[in-house]
Amino acid sequence: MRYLVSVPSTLRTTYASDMQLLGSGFTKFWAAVGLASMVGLPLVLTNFWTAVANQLFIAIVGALALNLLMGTTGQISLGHAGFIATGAFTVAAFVTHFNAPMPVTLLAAVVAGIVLGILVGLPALRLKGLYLAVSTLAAHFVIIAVLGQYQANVGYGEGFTIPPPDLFGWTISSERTWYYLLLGVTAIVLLLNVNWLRSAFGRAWMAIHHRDVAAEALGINVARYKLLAFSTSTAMTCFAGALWAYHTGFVSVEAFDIHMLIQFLAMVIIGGLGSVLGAILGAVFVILLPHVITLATESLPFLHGLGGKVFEIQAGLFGVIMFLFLALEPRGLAGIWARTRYYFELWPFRYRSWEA
Amino acid sequence: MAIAAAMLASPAAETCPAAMLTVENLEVVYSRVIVAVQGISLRVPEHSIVAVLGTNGAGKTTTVRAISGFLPVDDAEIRKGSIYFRGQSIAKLPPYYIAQAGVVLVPERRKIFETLTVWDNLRLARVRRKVSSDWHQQAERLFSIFPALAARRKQLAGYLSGGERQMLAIAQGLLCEPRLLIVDELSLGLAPHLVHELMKRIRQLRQEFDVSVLLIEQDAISALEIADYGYIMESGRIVFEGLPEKLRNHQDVQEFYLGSVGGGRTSYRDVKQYRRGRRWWG
Amino acid sequence: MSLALIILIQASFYALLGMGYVLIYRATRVLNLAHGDLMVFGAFLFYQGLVMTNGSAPLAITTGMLGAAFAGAIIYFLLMRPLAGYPAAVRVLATIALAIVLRSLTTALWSGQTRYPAEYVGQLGQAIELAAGLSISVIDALIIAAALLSIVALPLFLQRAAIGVDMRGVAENALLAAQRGINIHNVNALSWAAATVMATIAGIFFSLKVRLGPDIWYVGLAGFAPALIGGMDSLRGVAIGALIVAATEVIAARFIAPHIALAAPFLVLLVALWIRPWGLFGSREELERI
Repeated sequence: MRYLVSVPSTLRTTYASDMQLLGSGFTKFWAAVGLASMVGLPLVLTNFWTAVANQLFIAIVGALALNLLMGTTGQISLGHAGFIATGAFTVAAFVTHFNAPMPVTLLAAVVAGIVLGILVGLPALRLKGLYLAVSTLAAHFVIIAVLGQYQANVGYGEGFTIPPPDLFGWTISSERTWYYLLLGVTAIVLLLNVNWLRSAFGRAWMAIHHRDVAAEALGINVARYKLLAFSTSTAMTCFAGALWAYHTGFVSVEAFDIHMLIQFLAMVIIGGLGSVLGAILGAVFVILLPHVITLATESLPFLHGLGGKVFEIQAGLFGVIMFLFLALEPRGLAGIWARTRYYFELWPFRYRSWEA
Repeated sequence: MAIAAAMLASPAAETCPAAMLTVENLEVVYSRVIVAVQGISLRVPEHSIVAVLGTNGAGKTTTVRAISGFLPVDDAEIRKGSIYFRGQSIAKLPPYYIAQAGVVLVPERRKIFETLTVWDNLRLARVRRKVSSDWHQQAERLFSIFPALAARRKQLAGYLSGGERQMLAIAQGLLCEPRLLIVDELSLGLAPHLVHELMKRIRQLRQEFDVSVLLIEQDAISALEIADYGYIMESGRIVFEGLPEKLRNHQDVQEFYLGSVGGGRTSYRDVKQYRRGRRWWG
Repeated sequence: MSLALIILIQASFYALLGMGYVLIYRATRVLNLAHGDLMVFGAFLFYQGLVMTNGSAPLAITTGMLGAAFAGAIIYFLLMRPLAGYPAAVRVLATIALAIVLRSLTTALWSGQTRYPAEYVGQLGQAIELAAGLSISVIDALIIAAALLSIVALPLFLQRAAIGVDMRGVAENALLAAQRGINIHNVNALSWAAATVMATIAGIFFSLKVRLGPDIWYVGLAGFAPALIGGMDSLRGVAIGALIVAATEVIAARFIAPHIALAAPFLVLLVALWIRPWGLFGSREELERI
């Protein structure tokens, strides 16, 4: 029964036990179940769906990065697609010019991300809200223009082909191999994120989000933490872009358009700004939605005629759903999950009393 | 004053002839759980100044928001009770209807348009779409009552001092041709002599513009100087009411609101327990 | 055509777009990132009008503008009104959602093909002789005239007209405006209708001069750069910002590289924000208010 009922947090007796990620038998049990099912999943999925899962992992890394910047630190950033492009093109450049192995290119992408993050973050020290959002959007267009010019000069305008990478002697080419690599990588990134948010960094970022003037007065070096937020987030994003480049095998500047930005924005908004769970749920929603729509148009007879317009339907539906979440449930899917959990935890009571 | 005393004797809200505003057993709840106002009743007769006194958190601003229609903004609602203005129920109407019906609120914070000039601030406040000659007359009268505003006609309102802002806010409210002007925390952040000045002006405005005033105040001394009737709110309830002399002479009012020392209580704990136990039984 | 004239025409176009952004911003404190898609939508309405009236430009323009005004009001009531008390960031994200929906709606209604409305209307390419041996086509002259008219009329409207003052009051403090008896929803709907009409006018000009297709939203989006460079609360600044952006873009296209020229508005924006975060003509207080 211990494994099926969660223990309320008021029963912790030491700091160490309070800080544990998997505190009770309940969470340990279900975490193990979850891990086991993730590891066993490729055995039941077709190749197509394994590829979708791989896209999902990369999307989760990107969404976590955007969530760190927008949700936790409250800096609106509309340049996400440009950052992914930077990571992908770093890989393309290193593979094309130096034939560098995967660990080197990944590292290069992360470094590029840190540098880019500082460049983009410096204006953020003076700009807020709307002006920051717009300058990041402008940065996106400038990045895309520069990369486009690079592609025209070096890649003969067609783009760069990325051969399957080698890691410790294994060639990573099948979807299943990618799955296990990406599962490990995403898990590490996820743990890093959760840890940052629980640490002094996370608290400083959240303070900046709510009232940066008050944070400054409390002794938090706002400038330093803002730059840290930007560079960490951009580094993660470029990392995701690098993984994307290897997984897709082909890098061309057209792929990194406003549509990609909107997808990531949708992920964090629909998932819920400010929570790691939100980023994951949002990524799942956004990646799976087109497939759901395709399945629906194929299986439900009266929707057959719309089969050819999946892209438009998906895009339009995106916009509507994004708006509905903005208006009705600002905490997104994670908020819905939290409310459902709250309801069942407290049932038959409706509200927690003041003393608890 | 006699009207006010007679007011309290009469029973029903809607049928009472001299009451302009009648609030009856009002209960306001925030977020469906927090009861901020627990059943209060008050009346503002025609042509009178009524003061509602109380410390922070007493529920005064919530009451005022309920009257002027702004509860939905804060996720609050009227759960029980009624609000009647000149015989018409205004309890759940949108704010601009209530304003056009004649109840105008001068709020506690953000009471003027800072990016507009003084003149534009006043221009915004008009009952009909076109600015009539009547409006110009009213504006000139207000400029003569508040000469400081006349001098700063073209200045951005954001650069005005605290006292001038309050004057502008009151003038703006009056240009909406209200029958009832609600002024929330007039004295907040103002020097005492300015508060005194403004209170005198309010009395003058009551005469010249034929308007009733509902004054929400923490500065009990100044408010009771011009009020015809007073209510005292604590923790969402009206715990005491009466004519100004009655309020001024009551021992507990003197101790808690007028600043005189007495009662032999020396620690805050004693005061809290006394107030809780007392429950204002007389 | 001389370089200066090309820059002037491009600047006029950007000024028209930029003023639509500034109008919405000054009226509702929202940066409408869907302005480009509104431009495309309105231009398609105009095109539909041309098709249905068989080439009558005045009728098509009227239907386009009326339809745009109507659409703008509907957009306000469906989209912005439910988000009334929310922070500005949320409302800007909502305009992104609107952009997505508009784009898919436009593609669904009119398909992705490029259209050329100029085929329906006759003599737009005709040249007018100017002094010093220069000549300018009719459509270009109209663009410049429209821009000049807006630069003069819009600020006057917002400063002097009663509704203009109402709009500015509602933008700053909607709650207080409601307390003063202003019907804030009608005022906001009017602002949105007006901005959509301005976007449509720009769209009509572009589609007549160049082409009409769902992909030209990019041009409309680039229009926010001049608005921001000038400072979102100054209409005069939009004109200057438009000139700077147009000059950079045209010179970059001619002398540097076409790819870079596409991003010129944004490059100028980044530089301008770096130097003066509140825009060249904006007021410093603007920056804090966001």
